[in-house]
Amino acid sequence: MEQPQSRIEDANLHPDYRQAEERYRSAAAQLVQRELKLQARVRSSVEADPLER
Amino acid sequence: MEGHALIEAEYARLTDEFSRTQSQAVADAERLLYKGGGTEHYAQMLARASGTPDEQLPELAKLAAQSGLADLEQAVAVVANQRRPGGTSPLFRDWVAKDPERQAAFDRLRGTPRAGQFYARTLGVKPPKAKREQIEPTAADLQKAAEEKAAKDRPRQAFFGYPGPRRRVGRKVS
Repeated sequence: MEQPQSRIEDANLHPDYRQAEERYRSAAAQLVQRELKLQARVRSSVEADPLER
Repeated sequence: MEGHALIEAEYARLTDEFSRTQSQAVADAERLLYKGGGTEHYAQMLARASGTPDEQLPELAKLAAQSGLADLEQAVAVVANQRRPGGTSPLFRDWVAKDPERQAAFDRLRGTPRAGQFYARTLGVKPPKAKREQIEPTAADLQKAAEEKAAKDRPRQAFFGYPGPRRRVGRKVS
């Protein structure tokens, strides 16, 4: 019963889907930033003199 | 390590919620358009429509509409759609257009990416999966840190002739 699905162009995305994807991307991008900051913090902590930390 | 685990868990929850919501919207739309009422009567109408040649389907659809036989009308539309997939069948499109709820469901299906495209569109924003070397100092990091420390200590070493006095941190407990 399911329709054969071809690739949907951005302009043809349903507004509800588009909004949901934007919210998802925004939240996921914040997680990416948090992950990168965390990695940078862990990596840079080794550069400090242990006694100065 | 806990921070990475937390971020991964949040990402998993976010992805799960997003994909679940979209899958649900697609499933609801498909149920409305293709599944019928799930009754035995609808199944019978579907069998009847399936046995009808292409050229007779429009007449059967017209008769069903005029007689108010909703199950038969939907069955004809669904069969027409199976024979001309992708929403290109005029019979199916006419049946969809008769009801705003069906039209909304059709539009939702047409504008929502399915598995492959969905995955491809959302993969780009996945947080990098932390590998051990990304969350622990590597040999190169340690070497770089040692070199920087040596460079930093060099003037002190030159002055004192040894690594030099260290500032004591905290109070000595006797």
